[in-house]
Amino acid sequence: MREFRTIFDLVKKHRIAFLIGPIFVLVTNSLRVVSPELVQFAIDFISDEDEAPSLAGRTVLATADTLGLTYEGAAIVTLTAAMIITAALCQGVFQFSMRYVMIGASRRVEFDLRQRVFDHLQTLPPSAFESMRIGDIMTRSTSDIESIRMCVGPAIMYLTNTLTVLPICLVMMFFKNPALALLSMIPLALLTIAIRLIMPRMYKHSRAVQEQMSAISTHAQENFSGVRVVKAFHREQHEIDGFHELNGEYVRANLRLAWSRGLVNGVINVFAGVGVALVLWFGGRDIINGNLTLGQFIAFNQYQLMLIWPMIAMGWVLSLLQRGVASMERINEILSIEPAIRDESSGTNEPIRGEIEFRGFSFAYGDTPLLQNIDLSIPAGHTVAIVGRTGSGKSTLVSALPRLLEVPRHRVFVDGREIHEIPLEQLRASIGMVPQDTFLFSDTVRNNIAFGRPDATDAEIREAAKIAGIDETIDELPNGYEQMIGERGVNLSGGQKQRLAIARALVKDPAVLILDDCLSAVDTETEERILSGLRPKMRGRTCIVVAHRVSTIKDADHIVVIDEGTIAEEGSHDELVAANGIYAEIERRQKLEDELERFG
Amino acid sequence: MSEAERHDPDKPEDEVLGKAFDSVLIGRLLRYVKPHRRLFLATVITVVVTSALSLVGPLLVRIAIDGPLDGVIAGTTERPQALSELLWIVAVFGVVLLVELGGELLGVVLTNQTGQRIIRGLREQLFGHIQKMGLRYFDRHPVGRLVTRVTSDVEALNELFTSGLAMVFQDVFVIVFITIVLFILDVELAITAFLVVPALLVVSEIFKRRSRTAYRAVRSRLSHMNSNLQEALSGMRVVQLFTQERRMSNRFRDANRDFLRANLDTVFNYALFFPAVEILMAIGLAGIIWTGGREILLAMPGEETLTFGILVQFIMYLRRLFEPIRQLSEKYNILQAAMAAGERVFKVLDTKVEVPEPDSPVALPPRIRGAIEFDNVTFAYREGEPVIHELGFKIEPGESVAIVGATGAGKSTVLNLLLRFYDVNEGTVQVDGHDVRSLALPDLRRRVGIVLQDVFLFSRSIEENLRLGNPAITRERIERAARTVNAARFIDRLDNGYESQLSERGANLSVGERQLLAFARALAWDPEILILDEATSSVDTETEGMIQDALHKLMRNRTSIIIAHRLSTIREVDRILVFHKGRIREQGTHDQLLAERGIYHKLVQLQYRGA
Repeated sequence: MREFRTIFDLVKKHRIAFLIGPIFVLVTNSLRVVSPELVQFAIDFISDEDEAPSLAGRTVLATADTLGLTYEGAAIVTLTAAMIITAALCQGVFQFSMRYVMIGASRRVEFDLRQRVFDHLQTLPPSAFESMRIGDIMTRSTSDIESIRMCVGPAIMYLTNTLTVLPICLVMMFFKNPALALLSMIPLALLTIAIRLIMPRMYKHSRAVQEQMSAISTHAQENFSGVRVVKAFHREQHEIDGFHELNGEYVRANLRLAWSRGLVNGVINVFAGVGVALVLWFGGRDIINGNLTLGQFIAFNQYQLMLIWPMIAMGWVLSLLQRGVASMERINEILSIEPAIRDESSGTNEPIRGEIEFRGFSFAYGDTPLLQNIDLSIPAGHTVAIVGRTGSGKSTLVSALPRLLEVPRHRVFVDGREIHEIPLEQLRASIGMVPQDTFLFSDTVRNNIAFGRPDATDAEIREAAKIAGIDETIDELPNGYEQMIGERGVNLSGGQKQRLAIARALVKDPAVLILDDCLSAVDTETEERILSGLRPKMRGRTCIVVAHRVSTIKDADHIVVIDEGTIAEEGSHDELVAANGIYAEIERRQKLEDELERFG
Repeated sequence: MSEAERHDPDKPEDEVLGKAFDSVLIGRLLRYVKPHRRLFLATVITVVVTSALSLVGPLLVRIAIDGPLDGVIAGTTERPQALSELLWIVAVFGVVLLVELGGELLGVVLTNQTGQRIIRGLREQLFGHIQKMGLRYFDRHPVGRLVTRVTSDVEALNELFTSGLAMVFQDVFVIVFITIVLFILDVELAITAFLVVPALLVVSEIFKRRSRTAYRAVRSRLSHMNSNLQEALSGMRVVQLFTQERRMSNRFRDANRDFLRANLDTVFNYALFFPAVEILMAIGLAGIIWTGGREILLAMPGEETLTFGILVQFIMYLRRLFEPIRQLSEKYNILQAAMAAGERVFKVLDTKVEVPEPDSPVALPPRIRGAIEFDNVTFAYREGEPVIHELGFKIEPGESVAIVGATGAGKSTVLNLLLRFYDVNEGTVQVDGHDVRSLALPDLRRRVGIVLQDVFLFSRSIEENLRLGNPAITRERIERAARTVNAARFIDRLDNGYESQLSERGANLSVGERQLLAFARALAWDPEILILDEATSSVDTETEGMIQDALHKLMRNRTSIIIAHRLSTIREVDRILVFHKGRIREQGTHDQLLAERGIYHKLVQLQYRGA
């Protein structure tokens, strides 16, 4: 149960509900015994056997007295019936409150916990999401949180229910006939034991069913993914046969589970019946011997029926708790990941000019070194282009600036300040970065462009769209800037998405603009148009362009060629072409590609 | 995200909530019961008999009370005789209980047996149908969703067949039986007991309606919250770059809170429903006591009157009567989920196969020559965007041809059309002079072996991956093929040799090893025509050498088409076809084409520089 300490404060927040809920359970269960007691009295009263009426009976008689009713039979019966209904109504009120308060509180804890997980995830660096698959996080934040809720809500409710109803009923039965009370506990105890014995079997079988299901699912998944191979080798029938076999196994596993399920059902019904039979035999004997009244006999029956479900629920509660602990562990795994990138600035809010310096900057993913000893200094307002092969580390280098990765100390400086000393929010606000893989939200075009600045005016949004070369496309959309995009709206092409992402970065009006190979999906002509449109806007701002195409970066103030994690060449376009190295080779290839493209 | 996913036409499909009752759908589902009707009948009988037995208890209690117990109280029966009568009753009860235990067990097992059989048939039909679909279907339907159809959706139907159908019979029987017995015993008392039934039905109906609305709200808000979460996670980099964590958190909180509210509505419904049922039950009980009590008390001495036994039996049956009605909501949810799943499953089953088998296929001789002809072929994956235009070329039996061209030139389409993964829009594709559409698909595909760029391996043993369940391929043939293509060396090094299990998609092998396995597979199958989509990924020189050697052996004595990425391969073939923008622009041998200084010349410079 130690696992639950992470949600202790959330439970504490709703402590009133968690304290008052069990009280409601207690009251509900106390009222529950009124009905059998009244039935007992009624039966005994009708059959003239009420020489020594019970507490309930005396209450009925006292009430009749107060109301001025005579002891005339029919009136007493009417009064008893009325009291049964009254008790049920009172019980109903508490039963409602118990459920609403306890289950409701568990839902609120669930809400808080889910929000906590979400907020925590947001503090983690993007690299954390590479090691943890999104599907996995989704499962944890839905089904695992749900089973934690089942612990906090239903499990506690049913546990307190059993723990209160059992002693109450026992006491009531003991007062009537201790021997019979003990006897009628035997089938209940046996039922609990039997269920406990069958349950592990049932879990084992249901796990087997799960495993077989996942085998079926894997087979289908693999078959559908490899459909070309299956078809090319015309193995359809073979695959169907394999699927048939797996299905057979699944059916068998299910039937094994059915046996234990049937056993559970049977045992429950039979022990309930055995209880009735025992009371019938021993109670009947006592009646014959004059030690038990007919009313008491019926009350016994009712108490037994009342106890069956709470006894069964115990097994269920145990399994809920087990599952909850496992789920809690999985949630704790997420919550225990320390956010590696934190704001640790002293908090000076000087505006950023955009002077950037890397001093002996190295970076490794795990044990694989990616960048080594990079020295690069970019004066504010300059445009620098970075080229290099895929995987050479270009994106990693520019990701260091908005601190999307864990930047080593004293290696990166912005405006001469060590990057960690700049408030994280201010740093990121001053950098407009267009990442390589464009991600847009399924929201309107407008909201996507204004993502970084929800208060941006329409004019600003339009201007950004214009510079990014996407304004005409937007105007052609059915709903213009209010058009929903993504899953629930129109689909944009790769190039259109990239341009929207540029507009999104521009609206921020950043001091530093980073374009991380973000125009790969547009043709050369459009790329050039966008970049030339950017130039006036970027005047006086620092601009870093990661690119594949040489034609678009030749005007940069400075070009850096990264190869195998180090700066291989740098200089202006002309200098680099003259040097006849990697850059010159890239340029030649580019020309060939352009020529090839021109063959119509 | 792939093209197919972005243009997925049935995206909202999973969110569709079916009607709870759709008679056409139910009729269609019931048709699956028909082949198993005997078993189903046996199930229903067992379930009904068992529930009848479970109603015997209260009856015996009545007999005991009105017989020996009342006899002693009234002084009409001697104690020893009363005791022995009581013993008899209890003994009968014991026997009934034992039979009931057996019946209960048998009932559950039979129910599952029936359900599982029905479902197995349905699942296999579904799987087989999806399997027959053309590749176009797989382009449009992401694998994950298809898997959901054969797993979760079929499972939802399973619930209906196992827990649902038989239970309906049981419930109906219990209600009818109790009603009849109560009315026979005492009409006045029965009417009193049944007075609460309309109220119970009303309460259940209200609850059903409310929980349907609530269920929908919960589902839709859950899916909204999840897509919100999914999006926030996928776009985390952008969120952090734009420092919008707080806004995203608030946005998620809204979705989360909507979900909470919908859940609280459900909690409220249930919190109200359970006590309401109990109150109604108490009213029923009070009614029985009141009516019964007065009947007994106000009876004239000596008048035939209600017995205590009957009174007790009424009280006990009342509870049994309420049970099935109380569980209505649960059954309703099962039904609703099953209907929605059924709709989705049938939608798949109703989709026509796009690459149909010919009605009377041309029979090919045991060994074909292997001539290939593309005659004026135009083809588009997506309407209006043809990838190849009026393509025409011939390949002689035994000839080896390389297809080269830039990405998107339409090279792989040749493979897709020749194997009839897709059907042409115009023109014909012929093998030995027969239109591929006139050949039986297995017959065609048996003659054409392929090696795909992205080698697909199953998570089975190596042997299984090479044989793919073809009994005609012996272990010896497999080993010979593996030796020929140089795959035997690494296979022998594995712990279990040919029995070694591969992990998903063969992830425990290197790219080169996977390539060699694909070669071995093609060779073991010994097709007359070979199509090879060469892998672009680079491997080390040693492996490269082995691959080239294997390729050489593989091409010997068969018509071969190679979508080539390596200069060494291109030098090996008889003829090169240069694809550009969906057309053949140049063809000839390597030297001839180089001399032309056209597209091929540029491609070679671009792709094979320094290679």
